[in-house]
Parts: sequence; structure tokens; C-alpha cells
Amino acid sequence: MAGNKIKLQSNDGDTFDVDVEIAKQSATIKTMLEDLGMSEEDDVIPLPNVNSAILKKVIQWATHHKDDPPPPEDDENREKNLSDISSWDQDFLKVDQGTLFELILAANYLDIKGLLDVTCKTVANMIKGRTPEEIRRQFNIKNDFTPQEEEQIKKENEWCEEK
Amino acid sequence: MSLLTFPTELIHHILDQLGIDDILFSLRNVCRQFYALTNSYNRYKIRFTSSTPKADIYRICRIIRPENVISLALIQAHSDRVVERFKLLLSLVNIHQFTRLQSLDLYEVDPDTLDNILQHVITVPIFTKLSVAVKLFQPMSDRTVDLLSSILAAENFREFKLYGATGQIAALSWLSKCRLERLTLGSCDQRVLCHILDRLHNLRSFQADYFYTSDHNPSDISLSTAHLLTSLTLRSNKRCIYQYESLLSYTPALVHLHLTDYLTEFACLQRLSQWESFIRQKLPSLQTFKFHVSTNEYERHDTNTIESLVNAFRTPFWLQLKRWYVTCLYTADGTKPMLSLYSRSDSYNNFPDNMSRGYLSYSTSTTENDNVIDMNINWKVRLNASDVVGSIGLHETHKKNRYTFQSIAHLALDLYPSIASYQLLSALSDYSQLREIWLFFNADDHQLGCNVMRDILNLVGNVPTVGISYTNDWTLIPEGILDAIISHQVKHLIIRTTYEECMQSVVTYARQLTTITFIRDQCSLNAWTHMTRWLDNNGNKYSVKDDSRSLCVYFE
Repeated sequence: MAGNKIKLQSNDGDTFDVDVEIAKQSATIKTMLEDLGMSEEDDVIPLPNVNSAILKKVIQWATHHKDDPPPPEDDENREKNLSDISSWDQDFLKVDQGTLFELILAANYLDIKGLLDVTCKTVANMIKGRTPEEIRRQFNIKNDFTPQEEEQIKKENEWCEEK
Repeated sequence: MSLLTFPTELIHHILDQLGIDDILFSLRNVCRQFYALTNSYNRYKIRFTSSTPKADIYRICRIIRPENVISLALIQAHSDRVVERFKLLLSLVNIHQFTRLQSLDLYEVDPDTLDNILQHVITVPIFTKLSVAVKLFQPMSDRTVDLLSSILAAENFREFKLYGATGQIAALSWLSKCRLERLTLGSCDQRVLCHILDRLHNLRSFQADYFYTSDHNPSDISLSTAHLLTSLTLRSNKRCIYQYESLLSYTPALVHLHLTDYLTEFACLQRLSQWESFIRQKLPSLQTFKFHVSTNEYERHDTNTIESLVNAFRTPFWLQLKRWYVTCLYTADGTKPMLSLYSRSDSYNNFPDNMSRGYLSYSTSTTENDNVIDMNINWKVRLNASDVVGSIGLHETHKKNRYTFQSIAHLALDLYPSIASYQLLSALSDYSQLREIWLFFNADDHQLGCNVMRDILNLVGNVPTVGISYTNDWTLIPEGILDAIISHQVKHLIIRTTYEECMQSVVTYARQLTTITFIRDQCSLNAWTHMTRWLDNNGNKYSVKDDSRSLCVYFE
């Protein structure tokens, strides 16, 4: 019913009142409400894998996208949706790397496909066109290959004469 | 938190968004964990274009396990270089090792190779999607037809695109046991379409890039069922609108409809404007309706007819319930005039780029701001000022309606030095609603330009936005033109130029304006680099917009 609210509780104890329709963008919450017979009015839904700051961001995203149509069936539109990130989402995801990663984990746990797609796409864009060294710097990853493994990689990537 | 601590399924989700080059040539070589992940990742999609280096194909074949590839595609059809690269791949990897292939795109592969590949994919139980383009004048062999028919009948096969002659398409076995859900055909006549729709009971989406009626096709369409079809796209020529209505009466579940028909009759456009009740009755689930229909059989040339055509789309059904907005565009450029009616999302360009530099073009659209009671129409008009002002001056009464617009909101004038006075433009329209005017100068006579700008702004009154374009990009805007613009309280000046000296002189001189926008036809990411550096050095506020097509400078 329009206007109904539910309470979502983060793992650090904060509670958020959220419109049911907004919360149902999360397939996890939708299942809890519909299949497990949880009542919308009284019960608090605990979300043990999401902290307060991230839950707040997730609710902000879901509120902005509450009127989005369901993903289109035809291929043309589906592919476009995957490759494009709206300017609102781009601004929304201008966050530090830790927050971005936590959003991905939260989107995965809450099963919010749109948020998972757009956050993973953002990480993919941080990888695209970069060299291994640039990726290491971007994500603070150490090169842990042994000299033998480095040799193996070198062989894999040996340039071949065009025939 | 680190990317390295992510669950494997999430890393795979990120890899789904990357090309094979980024995965195999970069990410794989970052660290041991990613190296192992790229070995276990099993949703690789290989796409070749004509610019894929051969060396990359060798590297890919050396690294990748064919059983981890789910998609093979040759992009940029009709290119020998792409076909050559595909042959190289097949010489390095045995096609039969691609045991988890789900999707295959093949363009003009030689018949033996095609048969060999098709023979293999028949044996892959999870194969779901095939796109094949055969050479137009090279008929498919009986064996190819048999193989494609077998694939069509496979239990998990869902999506098929076939670009070939209609006769070849008709030769395939379209059996009712097919589970096909999505079908795209390069060409197809009415008989084949009915034949297919009658048999493929699971079909959800159908597209024909060239849909036509053969001489021997019956005029009426007869189908037993297409009750599950939810998406239909037809591109056609010269079809009668009753044939569309006849076909659509068999597709009550349609959610997405896309119709394109060039060179149809004017009556088709008129009938389409009356489709509200047809859609209510026959297509109750329709959510997306895109169309583009045009005719060169429009003889009346008067704006009243177009107004009534567009007003038919200004009902609560079109504007509020469906939110489908339309544009009607008239173009006369010396050949036969063309009248087009299209759903607004099909219009890619903004004014004045969506109007040709011909003799006269004008358009009007419905918008989300339309009031269903207020039927006043605002026009967008582009005209060759020499020709049109000349015609008005000759008092050619039969042309009167052609040049009379209730109210023009956007006006573009193609200007030539031959015009002595623009006073006659006042007979064209009421300019009280004018929001934007563009002047296209086709000569570099600067004094003339200053006089023209002043005369025209005097004539149309205060207008918030003025656009200027010179044929010669290396033109500096004369200060006299800028003075005329500033003295008429113009807020926003748009200049089509790539000439930095011009931009810098305008920004320096015309600081009384609120905004100056520079636009260019060609764009690239670093197109404005020098100019933005100059703006930074001079303390200007600015933003780059429209995919780098425009640079907006703001003043306090």
C-alpha cells in the first residue's frame, strides 16, 4: 500500500523508516516481507551485514530510483543500460574506494540488481584501459609474482609476428 | 577493505563489465590472485573488429581456455579484415573445444566454415543465441539450411538473427516445437512473417529490418495466433497503414512497438494521429511506442494541416497516460517536400541541427509541459531568408499559409547578402513567444552582419537566446554584432565555432551576458583543453557539456 513504512536496522543499531515500495527494490527485503510473512508495521528488519553509513547511502539510491521502470526486455535497451551510468549515479558514486566496495557488498547482500550493476560498472571503469602497474596503484595491490611466474607471464604476452 | 577480499562471484560480476583485453592483458598480470581468478572466470566474450591486432589473437589463444568462452562475435560486418581474423582464430583453436558457447555472431563466413561451426554448436546443450549474416547473392546450401533448422529446434535455443534473402529465410524449418523467443530478420515479406508467427508460439520479440509486401502477398493479414508477442519492430517502405492495423490486431500482448515507414502516404500520418482508440482496443498493454513515418506526397504545404495533425496527439491519453510525445517536421529543400511524423525520442539533434539548411523547414512537437486544453502551437522554423522574404514580398497569396505561423518559439535564418530589408519577416509570425533565434551568416561581410543583427533583433523584440554560425569557421565575431546583442538584453549567446581566438575575444568583450556557449560538430575528449586552460587562467567559470560538444562559460 502506498505510504506504508518499514523499519530497517543496520548492524550498528541505527533504525531507518523507509517506504515499503522503496525497500522492496531489495529482493532480500521483498522476500522477507512477502514469503516469511513479516509484518510491515511493527517488526524491525535487521540487516546484520550493512552498517549505518552504507545503509543510508543505499536508501538514498533506492529512493532516487524508486520510479525507474523494470529493466527492458529488448536487447538494445538492456545493453545500453549496462554500458551507461546516469549522471546522477556518477555523482552518487563519487565516494572513496572503501565506501564503493562496501556499497557493492551491500547491494549483493540486499540483492539490488541496479545498484550492483552500477557499482561494479564503476569499478570496471577504474580498470579499463589501464596497465597492470596502474591497476596496482589504483587499488593498492602488491605485485606478488615470483621471478618464475613473471617469466611465465612474459612468455604469455610475447608479441607474435603477424603472418 | 580491498578488492582482493571480495567474493569470487563479485569479482566475476566486475569482469562481466570488462573487455577480454582488459582482463587478459592487464588485470591478469596484476597479482597472483587475479591471475588465478582470470583462469577460473568462465564467462569470456571474444569480439573481433577489423582493428583487433593479430598479435592479440595469438595472445588470447595462448592464454584462454576455450571452455571458458561463452560468446564469439565478429563485429563490423562486411569487412575482409574481420573475416581474416576469425579464420586466424579457428586455425589456432579447435572450434569443438568451445564446449560452453552460448552465443555466436557470424558475418559472411565461408560456407564450409559456417557448416563446421554450426555442426559443433548443435552439440552444445546450453547454446542459446545465434546471429548469422550470409552473403546476399550466395544462397545457403541445403546442408546449412538443415543445420540452422536443427539449431532452431534445439530445446535451449532462444534468440536468432538472420540476415539473408527472404527465400532463404522461408526455406528454414520454422517448427512449432521451436522454443525461440527473440527473432530478427534482415528482410521478410508478409507471407513469411505470417508463416513464422503462426508457428513460433513462444516468440516474444520479432524484428524485421526490411518488411515488405510482395506482389503475390494477400492484402489482408491472417494469423492464427501471436498472443505472446510483446515486442515488435518493423522497418518498411510504402506500406498501407491498414496493413499495420491488420497485423497488430493479432498481437494483443504487445508492450513495445517500433514502426518505421518511409515514403508512405499522407493519409497514413493522418490515420496514425487517430490511433488512440485503436491502441486502447487492440494493444491495451503497450508501454513503448516509437515510430517514424514520412511522406513526400504532401501537397498542401500549410501549417494549419500540420497543427491539426499534431493536436490530435495532445490528448490526456498521449500526454498524460502514455507520455508519448511526437514531432512533426516539414522540410522543403528544392526537391519534393517531405513531411515526417515521429516519436520524440527518435529525434537525435537539437534545434537548429535537426532542420536542414534548405529552403524552408519547420517543426512542432508535443511535450510533457503541454496543456491538453491549450492548443496553441509554438513552431521551430528554419528558412532561407532570401527566398522566403522574396516570396512574401511578391505577395504570392497561394503561398500565404505556408509562411504563416501562429507563434514561433525557435527561429533560424540562413542569411545571404542579397537581402535589403528584413521588415517583411514581421508578416511571418507573432514573435512574442520567441525564445531562441539563430543567424547563419553565409558571407563574411562584417558591416552587413552588424546591420542584419540589429535589424532582426529590432524586428523580433527581446529574445533570451541568440545563436550565430559562420560558414567560415575562422571568423572573428565583429564587436558591432556583440554590441547589438548586448543592447537587446540577450542573456545567452551560442556560437558555433572551433576557433579559439574567436572564443577568447567574445569572452573578453561580452561579459554583460549571463552565459556564452560554444558548440562544435565534431567532439573529442580533449577538444576544449586549450580553451579551458585559458578560461582557468582568466578566472572564468565554465562547464563542458553534451559529450564534449559544447563549452558553457558563465558570468556573474
